[in-house]
Amino acid sequence: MFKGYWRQDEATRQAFIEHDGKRFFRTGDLGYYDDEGYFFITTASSA
Amino acid sequence: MHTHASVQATTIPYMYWRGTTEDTVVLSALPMFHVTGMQACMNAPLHTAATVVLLSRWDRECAALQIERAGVTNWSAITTMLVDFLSNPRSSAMTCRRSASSAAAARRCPKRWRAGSKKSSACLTSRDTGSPKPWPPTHINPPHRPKRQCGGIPIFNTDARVLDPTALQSWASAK
Repeated sequence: MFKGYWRQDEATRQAFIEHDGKRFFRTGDLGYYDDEGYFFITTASSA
Repeated sequence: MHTHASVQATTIPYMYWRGTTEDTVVLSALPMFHVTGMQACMNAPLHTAATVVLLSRWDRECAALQIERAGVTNWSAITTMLVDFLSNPRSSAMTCRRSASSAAAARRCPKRWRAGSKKSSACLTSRDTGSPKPWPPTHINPPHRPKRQCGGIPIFNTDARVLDPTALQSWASAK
């Protein structure tokens, strides 16, 4: 995973979220995963 | 910003996922200034000491010729490239006899077309988005059991979650 945007601290802060005690990159994709853990992406909610 | 570690985190797992060894022959036909070409067509085969067959630009006739001539075993393509390749009226006569394993963005392929590609012995796997931020792939279909129009499963050491886009909390169920 990338570390952040070059010299754009605010954009970097907005790109990542804290969840379940970990740092995640928010992709903006909409989708689901099935009962075997396969991910299906239906559409992107943001760029 | 990527570090050597964040790039290598997908370079090396990618080759294990595809079952690549030093005997692998990779058809390299993607621009290396994009992440897929740089990883699948340059970094990963160099790391594995595999053979790289390099196309300076996309040409489906030349690709088919090289698959035959050099005994290409692995080919990472983008969807439009693979569609163009398999649409070649001459392709049935000369392609994929060596059972090349091809990886494309299978999630984006039309269903009907992918059914056809199975017949031509192309083993479709998939990477996820082309975004260079996570330095793909983040998800790939297992080569032995891919699902159609599916992003695959998270690769090694990748934790992916599906959250409610407004509350940013986990859903009660997967969907």
